[in-house]
Amino acid sequence: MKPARRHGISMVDVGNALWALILPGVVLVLAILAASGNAALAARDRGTSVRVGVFSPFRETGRLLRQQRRSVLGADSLLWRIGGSGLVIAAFLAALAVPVGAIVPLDIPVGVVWFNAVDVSLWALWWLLGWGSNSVHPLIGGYRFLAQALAYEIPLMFALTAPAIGAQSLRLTDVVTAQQPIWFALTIPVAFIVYCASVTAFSAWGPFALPAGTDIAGGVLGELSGVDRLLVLAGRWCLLVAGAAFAVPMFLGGGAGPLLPPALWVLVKTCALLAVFLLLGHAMPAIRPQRLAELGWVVVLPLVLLQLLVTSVLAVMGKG
Amino acid sequence: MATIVFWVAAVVAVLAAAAVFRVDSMARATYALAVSFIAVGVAVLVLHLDFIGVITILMMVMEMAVMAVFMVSYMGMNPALMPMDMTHSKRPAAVIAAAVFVGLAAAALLIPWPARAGTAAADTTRALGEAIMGSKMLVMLTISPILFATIIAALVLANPRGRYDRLGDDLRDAPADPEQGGIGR
Amino acid sequence: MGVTTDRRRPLHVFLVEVPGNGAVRIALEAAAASAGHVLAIHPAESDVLLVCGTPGPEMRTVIDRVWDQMPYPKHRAALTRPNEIGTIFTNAQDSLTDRRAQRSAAREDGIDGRHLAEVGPDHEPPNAEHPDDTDESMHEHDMPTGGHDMPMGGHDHMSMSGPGGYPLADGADDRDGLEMDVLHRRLGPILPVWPAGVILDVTLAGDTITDASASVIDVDDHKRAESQNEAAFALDQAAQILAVAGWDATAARTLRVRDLAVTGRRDQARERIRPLRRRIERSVMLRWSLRGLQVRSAVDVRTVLLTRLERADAALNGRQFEPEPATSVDEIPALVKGRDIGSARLVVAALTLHPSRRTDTTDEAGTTTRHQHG
Repeated sequence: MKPARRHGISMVDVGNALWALILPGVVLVLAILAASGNAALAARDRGTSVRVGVFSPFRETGRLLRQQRRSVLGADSLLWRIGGSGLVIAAFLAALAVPVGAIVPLDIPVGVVWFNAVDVSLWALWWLLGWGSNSVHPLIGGYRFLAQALAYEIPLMFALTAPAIGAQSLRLTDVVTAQQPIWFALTIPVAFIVYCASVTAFSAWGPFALPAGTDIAGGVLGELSGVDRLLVLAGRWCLLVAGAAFAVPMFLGGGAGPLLPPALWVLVKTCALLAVFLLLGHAMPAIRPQRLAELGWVVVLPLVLLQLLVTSVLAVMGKG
Repeated sequence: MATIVFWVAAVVAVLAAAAVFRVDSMARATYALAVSFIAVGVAVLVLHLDFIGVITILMMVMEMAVMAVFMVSYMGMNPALMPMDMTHSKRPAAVIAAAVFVGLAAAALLIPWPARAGTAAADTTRALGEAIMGSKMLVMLTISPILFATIIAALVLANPRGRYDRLGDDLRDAPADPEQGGIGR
Repeated sequence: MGVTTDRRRPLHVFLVEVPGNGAVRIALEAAAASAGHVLAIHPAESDVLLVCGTPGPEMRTVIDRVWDQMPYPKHRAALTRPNEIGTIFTNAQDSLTDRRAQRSAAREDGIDGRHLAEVGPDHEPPNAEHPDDTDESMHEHDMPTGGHDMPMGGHDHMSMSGPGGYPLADGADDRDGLEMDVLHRRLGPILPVWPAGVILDVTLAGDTITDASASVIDVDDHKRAESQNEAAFALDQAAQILAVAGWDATAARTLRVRDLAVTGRRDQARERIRPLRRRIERSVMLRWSLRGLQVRSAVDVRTVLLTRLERADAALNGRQFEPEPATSVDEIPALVKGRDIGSARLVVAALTLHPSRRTDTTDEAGTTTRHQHG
């Protein structure tokens, strides 16, 4: 129930608006933390100073801001830069739908579909980033992303509907309240795992990092320098953060938990899931995209559909 | 507020659609069309049809992303960033477009639409669905997996290499593909 | 303005290895890692260009082109012996932090670049020799403190040619019978994780290589490869396969063991190499990802990787080991035709290339003979 409105604007609306304004900052802070963690893990593997690794995102930001931008002859600069800068914006839009305790900046009845729409726009953005540069290696990187996306997108769409079926609603606050006794991550595990894998895939990170791989001279990151490069690197991390944040209301019970206020629980759960992504994804070899298609369509998709069937049957039995 | 958003979305939709024919590049034309569709989706959102609006945006962005890839692949002589003219039969097309616009605008403005009887339904999406599909809901639900299966079957049939090319005459050999699939089928 | 005081900034170093200078490059990589610097994989992201060895004439042209593609602030140096490494990074940092010099160099380059872009594209052959497969890059003349962009030249002469003045690609059928654009590209001689000095001219349909021809740059200038720390060399080669396969964590660990072997801490290296090899052997995902990449008969990329690690283990423990049979550069096209670029890079990373055109073969009696090709 919404509190009574006074003077046309309620405290809840003010809270929502404020949160919507500071959300990009929060996402960026978490992204920098994730990048630091990743750099620390990489430094530990390489044997270099972990302390230097932890601060490397800051230094890298400074270095890239100081660096000259560059372009390629014949590149479609408008589309190229839209692809590059769009990643961060997509991450912010996806994170906007996450309810943080009582604050729900985007309380639309179709929060689940909102996230789906944002992750579909990533197809366009990564492809623009690869194709727009008029250079072979980024082009191959962009198409590698599409090859990966073909494998994960349909399973992801079905995995996103599973909690919606469990909660009988597409609204995120309803999905959170439906997890009061037990989290969906435990009752719909297949969907949760597919969702987590898809988050790392649409961030082109970890085992799905070959669109920016070393074997194609940096892939989509190749021809970028200066602030353009910074935007794409930030975009990758922000997408990972937004994906982890969205998993909290969908699979991890939202703000539920003892002792701490719900907003803080959301933050804690997001950071915990990010840490899991870092530790697992960092240690895995990259999967070549052409091997993913068969796996995604012949193995993963039937499993997700079976999971949906089980969830639907349980939902109908529980209701009737 | 809703009126302002609606009018902005409407203007953006029309301008972006016009841009589709003015830009020099297939990729830019495709994404101008995507912008136009997103604006239409926003206009639908203003009507409180949340699900339809977001789904429109989702589907259209995905379709434009896929279309851009195909446009760039198949437009042999008119690839990206070359000056090109995509319009044909300019005069008849302009006449028809103007006539249709006048007709639709007249219909929208001059028809005496009935006033709303009662209040809006609580769940507009559900009400819209029931009004459109009503008693045929089960048919609609069954049709979508059938459509999906048809698309897959069409792809399988269109493949120049059949099962026997891949798996040998007795369908027992390991698949002979130029690129090995992930699970060796 | 002027010289800023923070000298401990990590640099992004782009290393160019002139063939025959593998030991210098490995020593330089070890020094860079211990100083906290990062190895760049594209000139666009690098600050410093370091050339290991003395390049021949062709190589010098290619290196200059790579230098042009790097954005400011940038620094360039060369070294020929491992003992020159000491001051190279501090000199680079001093040069990079000298903003006035960098800005005036950028300004001069901007003026030259604008002139070049107006004249350039029509005079460049479409299959121009580009290191690292990038098209000509234009530097937007952008002040480092985020000023205005001045897009440069070349929009007028686009009547019949494609964007940027380059002609459009023709079409041809690819491996699956689809008509795709045909791109002629040159891979190498400067490419990350690539055998030094090898040039592979490929014809691409999408990312599939439909045709290839290989050569070596400055083929007359090659010295015989110097005797090297065998363990470090084997580990370096193993790390190359891992880097191209995309397993950065394990590639980093392999490089760490290599650095320990190079800097004389062999006992630490000996401790680490067995668990590393076990981990790589046990990885199911790596086996699945690398399936189907035959390098020689009955030998695939994963086998080569594990053999290299065994060789390094043997070298560290003083045991005897078989050196890897070297392949001639002429054999590369047959191995990469029909593969996509990623698989081709893996196959090339799994080869030990002989600097001149020779192939070692081992006959049934186990004796290795060297054949000289013309």
